[in-house]
Order: sequence, then C-alpha cells, then structure tokens
Amino acid sequence: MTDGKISDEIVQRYRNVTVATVYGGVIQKGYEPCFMRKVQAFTPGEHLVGRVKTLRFVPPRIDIQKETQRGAKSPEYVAMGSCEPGDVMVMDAMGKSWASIGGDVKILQLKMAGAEGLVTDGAIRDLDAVKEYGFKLFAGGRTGAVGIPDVWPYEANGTIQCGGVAVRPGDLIVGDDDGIVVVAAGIAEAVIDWVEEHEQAEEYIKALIESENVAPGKYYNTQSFERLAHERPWEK
Amino acid sequence: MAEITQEIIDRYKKVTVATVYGGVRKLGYDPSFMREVKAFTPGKTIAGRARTLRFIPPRPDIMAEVHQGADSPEYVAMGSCEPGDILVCDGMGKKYAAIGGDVKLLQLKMRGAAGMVTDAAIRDLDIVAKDYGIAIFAGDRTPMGGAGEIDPFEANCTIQCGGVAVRPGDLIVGDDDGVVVVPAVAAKEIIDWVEEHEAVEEYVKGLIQSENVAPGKYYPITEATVEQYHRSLGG
Repeated sequence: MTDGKISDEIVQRYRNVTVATVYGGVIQKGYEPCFMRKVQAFTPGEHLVGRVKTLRFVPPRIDIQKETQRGAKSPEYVAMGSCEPGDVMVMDAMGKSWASIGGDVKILQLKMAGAEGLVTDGAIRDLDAVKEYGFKLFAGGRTGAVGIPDVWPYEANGTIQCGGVAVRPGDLIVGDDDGIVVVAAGIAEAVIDWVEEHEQAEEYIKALIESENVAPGKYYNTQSFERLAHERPWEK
Repeated sequence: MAEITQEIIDRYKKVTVATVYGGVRKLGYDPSFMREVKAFTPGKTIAGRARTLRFIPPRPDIMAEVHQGADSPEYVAMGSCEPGDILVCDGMGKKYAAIGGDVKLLQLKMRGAAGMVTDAAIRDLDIVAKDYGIAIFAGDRTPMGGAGEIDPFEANCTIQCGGVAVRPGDLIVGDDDGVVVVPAVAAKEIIDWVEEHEAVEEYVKGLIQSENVAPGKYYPITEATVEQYHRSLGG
C-alpha cells in the first residue's frame, strides 16, 4: 500500500472510463480477485468513483455487543463519520446478502457527510427512502428486516473483505451497472494510465472490425493490442 | 476479559457439545454452532482455549506487507498456541481453499495444540490426522493450496468462523456433532448449567423408560422437572 492519498486528478480520470476496462487494468497488474461477487447496482445508470472508508461486521454476540461502543461512537457511525465528501463507504457483511447493514435513519449520516456511495455484500433496508439521499447504492440485496441476528458492526476503517475482494481504506472503488471493482491505492495511477490507453485501442479496433466487416477475433487479441500500444495510430 | 481456568476446561472435557450448545444458547449467545464445519478426525473431541487467525481475499500489496516468512500472521497465530489450545481460522467459508497442510501445520504439533478449526479446507489431512495427534474440524479437505483464494492477514483478533464470532481466549468445544464457541466471559456460568442439565437429562431418560411414556412428557425439560430432579436427590 502507498501512504499517499489517491489524488483528485486521478479520481477524476476514473470517471471517464468503464468498470469493465478498469477490471482489465487491475488484473493486468496481478490484483485478483478485484471484482465483487454478488454485489449489484441498486441505483441503475449511476457511475460510482471514490476513495474508500470501511466497516467490518461480525456475527452478533452479546458480550461483543456490550463491549462495543454504542450510540454515536458505535463503529458504524465512526466509519460513516470518517467519510469526506466524495468518499465511498464499503461494508463487509460477510456475504450475507439478506442481512441489513442499515436503513434510512442510520444511512442519513452518509448523506450528511456528502458520501459518493455505499457498497456492501449485505443488504440495504428502506432502500426506496435511501435512494432519495442522492448517492449511489451497490449491495447484495434489499430487505425489510434488521441486521440482528445476522451482523453486528465491529470495526471502522480496518482491512475488510467485501464480495470476496480485499478492501482497505484509501483504495479506489469504481462501479457501474456491470458491478464493482476495487483498485488498490498503490496501483491507482498505473491502472488508469493503462485503462485510458486500452480504451483508445478498443475504440480503434471496433472501428476496424466494422469498417472491414470481419469477426472481432481478427483484431481483438493480445497481438493487436501490443502492436497498437506501440504504433498508437490514434495519435496520428 | 476473564481468563478461562484449566479447572473449567477440564469440566468441559466431560460433557457433550450438544449440551454445551444448549447452555450457550440459554445465556443468549446465538449463533454459537459453526455451520458447515465438520469433524475430520472422527472420535476425537476438543475443549480448549482459542487462538485465532483471520484470512482475507488475496492481494499482492497486502501480501508484500504481511507475508514476512516466520513472522507471517499464520506462524504468529500458531506460535501463540500453548499446549491444549485450539487454533481457529477464519477462511471466509471458502470450503475449497486450504489454510495449510502438513508442513505449515507442523507448528501446531510442535506447540502441543489440541486442535485446529476452520471454515475453509485442510490439505494433507491423512498425514496431519495420523501423525500430528491434532483434532481437525474443517469445511472440507482439498489437494489445493490457499493461494489465489485466501491469505493469512491477522493473528489473534476477533474473527468469524462458520458464521460464529470467535475471540482469542474463548473456549472451543468440538465432537463428531460439530463445533460450538463458548464466550470466555460466560464459560463458568455455562458449564454450571451444562453439568446440571446433563444430570437432569439422565434423570428424565430414566423416568421416560421406567414409566414407559413418550419423551414429550418430560422433554424439553421444564423448571418443574429440574425441581423434581432436586427433590429426587433428597434435597
């Protein structure tokens, strides 16, 4: 991990590219898994890009519940309260897609913090009301039930898993209707450099395939991408 | 947090996991039974203090930071085991990914650990089961390593395993029925209840047979039956 914060300029560049291409860039750097399993867009059409804050849930246990700070100092409020404008709250619900991580009252704090989005492999409650808050929602499901007896908020801003991917505070999260990809902070710049070039190459190849009326396989292969990266015909 | 005494651990060695489950639940701890975690050394029972290890999905930058040879979290966790302890590994329920095999787990044998519990898989089970004398409870067995699926991240923190929260110092009990977690703070109160409950159950089984009635007459056990049991002792 880099101690350096991902710059606003880099975050901005991710807003212009698709999650699918970012996925390609992240695995190209050897970071796999990076795509969250069973986490879907609940605000379709929205493109999510932002720096991460985290919250880890554990299975409920009454001694832990007694020890954990309650009220405004509970880990869930510490985590949401740590969000700066544009940040994305990522919650590890251990893949319990039916277990609520919160509803419209709790999640109000994210709206007040100016968060960009909420991502969890658990479920969101009162989703219709939460949608009104104007930030982007990605979750394992929606539910009418509360999180107890399935999940208990335990730790703010530690290393977590979400949807089978390791996530740390300060990483970059990107999401669109294809789903969510995690970009480790230390590779964010190298990945976006690769992604921008790759998207240009893909556009160039799509035009070739259509104009020559050939099967994509003629150009959609490693050799073509390598040649294009070298020749950079779109710059001519 | 209260340290569980050897005297209490020894008392747990004499009771069944099923009755311990009843006691843990009675005190409001639920879930306590690990889902999808089975005995892979049948007939071997465990009752011992937990040491914990948390795995996370793999990531090269995290691995570069935490995988430090002998100081890697997995060896720190196993190295923290005292004789009789149980290592509990949170493998995020990935039943096909190994937390280790005969080479890594050699450290548990050397530390005199009594058991290893995980919701992921174990590798080289035949060697570990035959030669190491450790009771194994796992999601499955596998020939695959854990690379690409799970990486050891943190030793002796609060984890989940089989859907149950586990902390270092808790008591872990396991038999062929499965594994139950006894929170350290409630260990004494629970064993008091369990011992009495097992005695009452024996008493009730005697009554059911001698009166030739359906178990429903005395089971589940009510407060009245417990009182009747105490009276039968001449109390």
